[in-house]
Amino acid sequence: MNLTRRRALQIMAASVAVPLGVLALRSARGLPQPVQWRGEALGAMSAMTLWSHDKARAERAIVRMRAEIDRLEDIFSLYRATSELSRLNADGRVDAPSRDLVHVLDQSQRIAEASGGKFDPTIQPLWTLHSARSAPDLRNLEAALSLVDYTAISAHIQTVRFEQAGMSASLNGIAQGYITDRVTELLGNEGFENAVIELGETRALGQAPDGTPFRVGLLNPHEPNQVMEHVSLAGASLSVSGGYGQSLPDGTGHHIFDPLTGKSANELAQVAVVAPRAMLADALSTAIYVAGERASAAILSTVAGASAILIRPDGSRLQV
Amino acid sequence: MIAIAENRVRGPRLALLLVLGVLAFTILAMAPARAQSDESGAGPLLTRLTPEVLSAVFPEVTRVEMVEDDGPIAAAAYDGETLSGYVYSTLDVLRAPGYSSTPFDVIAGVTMDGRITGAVVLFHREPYLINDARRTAQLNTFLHALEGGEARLGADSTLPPEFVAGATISSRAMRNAVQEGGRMVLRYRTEEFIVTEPTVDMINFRPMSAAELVADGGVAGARITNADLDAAMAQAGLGDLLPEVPKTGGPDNLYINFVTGYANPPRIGRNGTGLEPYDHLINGMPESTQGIFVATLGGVYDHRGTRYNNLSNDFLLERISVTQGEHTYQFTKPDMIVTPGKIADILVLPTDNEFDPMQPWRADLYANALRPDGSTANFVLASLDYALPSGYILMPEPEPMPAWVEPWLASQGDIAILLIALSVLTFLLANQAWLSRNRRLHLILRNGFLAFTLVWIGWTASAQLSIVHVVNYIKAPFAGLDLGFYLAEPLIVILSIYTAVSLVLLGRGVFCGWLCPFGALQELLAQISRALKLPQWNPGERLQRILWNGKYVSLGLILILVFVAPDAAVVAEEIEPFKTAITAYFVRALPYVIYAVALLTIGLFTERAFCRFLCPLGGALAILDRLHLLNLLKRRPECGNPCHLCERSCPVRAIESSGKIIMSECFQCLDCQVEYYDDQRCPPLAKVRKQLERAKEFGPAPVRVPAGEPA
Repeated sequence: MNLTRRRALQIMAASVAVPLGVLALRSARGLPQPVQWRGEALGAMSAMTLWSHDKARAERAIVRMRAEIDRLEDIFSLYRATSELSRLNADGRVDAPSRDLVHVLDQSQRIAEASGGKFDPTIQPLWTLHSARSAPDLRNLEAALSLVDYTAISAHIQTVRFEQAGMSASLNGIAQGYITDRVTELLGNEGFENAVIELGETRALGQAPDGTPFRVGLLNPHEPNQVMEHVSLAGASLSVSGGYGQSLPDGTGHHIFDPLTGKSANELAQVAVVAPRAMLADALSTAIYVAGERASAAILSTVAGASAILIRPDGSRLQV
Repeated sequence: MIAIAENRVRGPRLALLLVLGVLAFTILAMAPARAQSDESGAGPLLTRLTPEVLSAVFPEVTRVEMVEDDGPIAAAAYDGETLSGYVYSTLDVLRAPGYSSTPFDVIAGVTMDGRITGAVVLFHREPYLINDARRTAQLNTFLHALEGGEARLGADSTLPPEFVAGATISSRAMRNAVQEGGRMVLRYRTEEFIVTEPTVDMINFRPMSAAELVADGGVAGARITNADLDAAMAQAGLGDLLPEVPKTGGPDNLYINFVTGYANPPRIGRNGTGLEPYDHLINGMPESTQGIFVATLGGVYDHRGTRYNNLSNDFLLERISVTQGEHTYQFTKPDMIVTPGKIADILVLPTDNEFDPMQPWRADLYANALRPDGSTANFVLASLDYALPSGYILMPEPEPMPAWVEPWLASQGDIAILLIALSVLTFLLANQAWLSRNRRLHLILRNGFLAFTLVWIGWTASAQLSIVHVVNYIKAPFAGLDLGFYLAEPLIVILSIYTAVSLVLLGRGVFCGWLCPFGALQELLAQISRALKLPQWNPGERLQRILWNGKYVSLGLILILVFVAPDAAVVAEEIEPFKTAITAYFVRALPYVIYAVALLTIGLFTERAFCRFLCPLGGALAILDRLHLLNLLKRRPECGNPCHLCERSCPVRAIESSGKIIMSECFQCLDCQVEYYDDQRCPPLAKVRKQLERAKEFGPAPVRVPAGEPA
């Protein structure tokens, strides 16, 4: 090609003009604005905040995410009698289960394995036992404990079933994380860059539009109305486990049990785990809350990039 | 509360709860009650709620605020920002009278969990309490002791009504009103009423006078004057006889003021008769017993009849009948629930369930005329047509719209714009010969449409179709995403359908060449580049055939990753700069922006390089392009051999040297068609034109050219 001086200048000018045009367009748009939804999902107060230049587009995305949340609730909710999980608990098996159920059961078994059984999805018989009004007697407790065994779940794409009659599962320690992940990933797929998804667990998509990490308040376990500290979150998830959430009707403790003893765990007041995915953060925080301070490092090491803040009953704080 | 939720649909049971265990015998004077209630001088609730009253009925409350709903009148009581309960007045809620027929006014509070917080009497006309300091003090103590008690009619109170010795009736009526009123106020706000089919409203109650009931249709009334009586007799052919019950006064004097209605809704039955008769209908009778409310409010005549007092149980109430459809109901004395002190009755219908309160019915009021021989002739004095007004029927909540309908309604304007644009595009493609014949028109319309696609479809409406959508559609059978998930993006749905149809009819070019915002951005930049005469580079035919496969490689990569490694697929989808350049207006992290800018810059020198060699969406459409049914692009035998004009004018080099248009690479820009119709440039056409001109110049004029016209 015969490249004259004039030609070369033309090419360079054109090549500079494109980025300049792009810069002009960028600055003309300014910062994206937040659009928020608040509602209830899986029995918990939930919120989604999306930053977008196009408010209507963010609102439409929220509508679509609500459709997805609703579909997942039909799989995991114990409040819905026809959910796949409720049917699994009632019948001991579900044929042609959703991929979501198989995946979450599979993941929960992995974490159960990694935590030495301190996290166990088949905990539900203990909850049923403790939700009775009176304190459970020892025989019933032993019977319930014998039904807690994550290895007795067989999760395959054709059939999910329990290998022991009378078992029942609760995925409350992991399904919220899974839903949070699903929604966050779908939103990322839709082209959203900055979002905070709080569906039982918190996950940040990207960072705040100004380029700083999102700051999520961590409540004081002894004063649940007070924010104790702020956790910086960018492209990561936060899950908090603590016994102050739900006390048992029989007065013997709260909703997080040690699957090995059948009693409410109380070695720690609160565990906050930051991990790349909400499902992992969710399961890890439950496992560490039950397993206690000494086992925490070992459990955390099973997930790359996970860290935790432990609050002891005396209020002291430990970063792992 | 849970039990109530289940029973909600069955009206009478509800009412049973509403008036359970009623002890008070109160008489709700209908028309007079309204006039008398005004005697209390009661203003709006908030003005009666002085700080002293409030601190007595609901201590620890910092703020009260009227509740703006259709329920029983109440003020919400807040402690800081927390809703602690409600404050209400028995006068507003029940207008219940005590011993005197003038309703009293007791202000009370109720907590959210149904406990009374305190009660203070503001006004009463109770004869045994007025000017009696000792009893008044006892009454205050008695009301104060209601604190902490359950807000439920029939619940025990700490002190018995007998504590106010000598004014037991008054104190009991006040206690009952506080209990029942608290329950009504709370229940309306805290319980969910689930209605699955149209149901008679047995839930809502507020005090209403006869005039109010007539006004809203709850009861039907007939005011019959002496003149009306004469007319009724004349119509029955008894005009020359006298009525059995003689009239008094002139033609305008009232003969009877009669009202009737369906007695079961509390607003009708309870307001019409009072607590006790109504309670008897609802609770003292077999379940789902129905009644007709009838009352005579004035006049010399009445619906009971002169023989009523002596009427043995077997005799008919001869002055009244109720007719619904084929069925006519008549009543005997045991069917009546009478209101003491008023000519107001509930006529109990047979429990055969034939009477349908939702259907209209008619009440006939009869009278007798006296014949000279002493016998009587019966005639209809008034016929009242009745239909339960809609205000007394609870309707089920309409099925909520699926969430995806919202965006369709919200973006009607955008949908209209897009549909118009697609109609224009369809018109242009269907009339491409017309469009291509005029080079200037084609230039304007084509660039105009591209600008619209970029600025409106892309940057304004964010409706850039992308490989993400294709992946979502492919994954649909596996991912189990809800249909609503797809339908919630109206413009994307419409564009997807249009693209699919156009793909089958014409090929990928319709979307890629006309509707893709990023494609439009590249092409517009390329037009500028061409106008500036920047050097253009295009690969040779053989190299180009290899490079074309790039888009199938990127498509394949994404599709494999979607199923093998979904996380990596999300990254791979970034091959498309659409998010960066269109949806995010380049407001993204630097690497994305650099990538998009690089693609656009390359596009300046090699038109639509991304579309032709890399775009996974283009790849997906190009694969399916093999299916297309129509080919509207016109060719001549000379195309390719010997002529190569179109081949060179095709901006994306989709025409091979053989003259064949590779449709999977064609963007339907119609540039080749413009050449095809251009008799200055298309050699075969130019040749014909020149022959014609030469013929005009030298030979005899062809038939088409009129003789004498200058050449």
